Amino acid sequence: MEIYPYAVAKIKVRENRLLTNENLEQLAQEEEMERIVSSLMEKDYNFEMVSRYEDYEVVLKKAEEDMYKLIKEIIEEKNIAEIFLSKNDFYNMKLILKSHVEGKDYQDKLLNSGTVSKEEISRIMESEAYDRLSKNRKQAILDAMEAYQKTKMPFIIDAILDKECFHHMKKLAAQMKNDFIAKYMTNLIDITNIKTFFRVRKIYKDPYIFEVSYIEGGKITLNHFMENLDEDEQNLKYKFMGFSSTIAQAIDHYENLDQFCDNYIMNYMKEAKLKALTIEPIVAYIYAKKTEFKNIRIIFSGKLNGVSPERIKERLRESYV
Amino acid sequence: MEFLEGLANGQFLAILGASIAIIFAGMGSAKGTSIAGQAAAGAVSEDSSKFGKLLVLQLLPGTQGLYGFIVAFLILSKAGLLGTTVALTTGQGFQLLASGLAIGITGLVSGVAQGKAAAAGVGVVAKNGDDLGKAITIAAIVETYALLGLLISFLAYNGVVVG
Repeated sequence: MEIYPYAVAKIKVRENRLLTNENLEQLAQEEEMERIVSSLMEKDYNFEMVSRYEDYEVVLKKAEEDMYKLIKEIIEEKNIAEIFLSKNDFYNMKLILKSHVEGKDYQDKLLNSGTVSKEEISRIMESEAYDRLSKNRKQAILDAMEAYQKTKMPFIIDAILDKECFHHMKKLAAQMKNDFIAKYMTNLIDITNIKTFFRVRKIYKDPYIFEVSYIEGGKITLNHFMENLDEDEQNLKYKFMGFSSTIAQAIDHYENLDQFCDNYIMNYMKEAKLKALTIEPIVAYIYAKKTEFKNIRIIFSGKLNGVSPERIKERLRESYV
Repeated sequence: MEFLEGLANGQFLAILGASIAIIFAGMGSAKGTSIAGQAAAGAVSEDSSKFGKLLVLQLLPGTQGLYGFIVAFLILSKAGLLGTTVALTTGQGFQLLASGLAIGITGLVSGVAQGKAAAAGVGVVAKNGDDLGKAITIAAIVETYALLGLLISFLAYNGVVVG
């Protein structure tokens, strides 16, 4: 197994600068934005580049770009960053396609840190020059548009592109021949399917939507989900062994479903703390930083919209440290 | 014919034994210090104040090469290559060669293994500088097996009677 002593040691030092659960709760409790910003600046978030608190996204986008730049500098394995970054490409593609069919503007919502720049992806999608994308991506876009024309349901664009996104991520993970990353992908697919499963049960109530959205590659089969779509809530946690705690939490507080699912993956990532030289701590660090960005977004949007500290704390994701 | 006679020459075999001791043990140390050094460089690139502490960890896998050098020096000395000339039989040459094998092989394996343990220790110190003692202790345990190799090499070397 390949070892990365330089990269892992560098990351271990950086882990000391991650926000802990206590740090996050203190920030949520803080009443003055100035003090929140000052605490975050101590953790390398460059708020000097913006003049208004409302522009926190600019700071987070820069921090994300810096994080991926660091990863690419310290490790030759390119797949590791691409596994996480390709999700942003597909997010941009979905956003542009859905904005077109719904006649909305999307430019401000595009993500910058994909494997393809937002300007490039925008040009490709606008001019329908899909040949400049990979064969599988092009096919997924054409399939999504065809399915949308038939059904007129925007969710189908998400479903088809998400399938291709996970297929691509899983392929990259398989090339790395690392059990931890392979299991991360399996868990991520299962947890994504569980999220869809709950949404279909609670909101859409249409098995067809689940069937179309189901992503292959996890441990839980489509049949198992379909058989349990109408199962009594109290029995569900016994039907999905390995996910029973997340399922139980989701039943009690459906509104925090995303949070429980994120925490499930974070708890898996914490296994990387036991690895000293191999790639696992680097993968976990990327996930830890992405979760930290999400937590900062929750704190800022909560504070700027006058949400109570208690409500903000309830929505915070588990930190890696 | 002369070539075969050369191979059976006692002094040639003793030199081979000394070479095995230093080459393999040296390879173990080179690889081990390289692994620990890469880890130390990674940590120092983020926090240069830890340089002194991390240097100790990088040095730990360096001892195997030193043990190999000591055994090689002793073998060359007994073979009469560093001072008074001694007549060595083929059997005595083989005995000296075998005495060099113990530290050579244990030095190679333990050097690499200790390098990995020391690199893991760098991660511990990177998180908390106060844990240097624990990190050293963990990596130093691997040293035991290099020391056992050195001991056997030394006892075997001592048992070889020449002249």
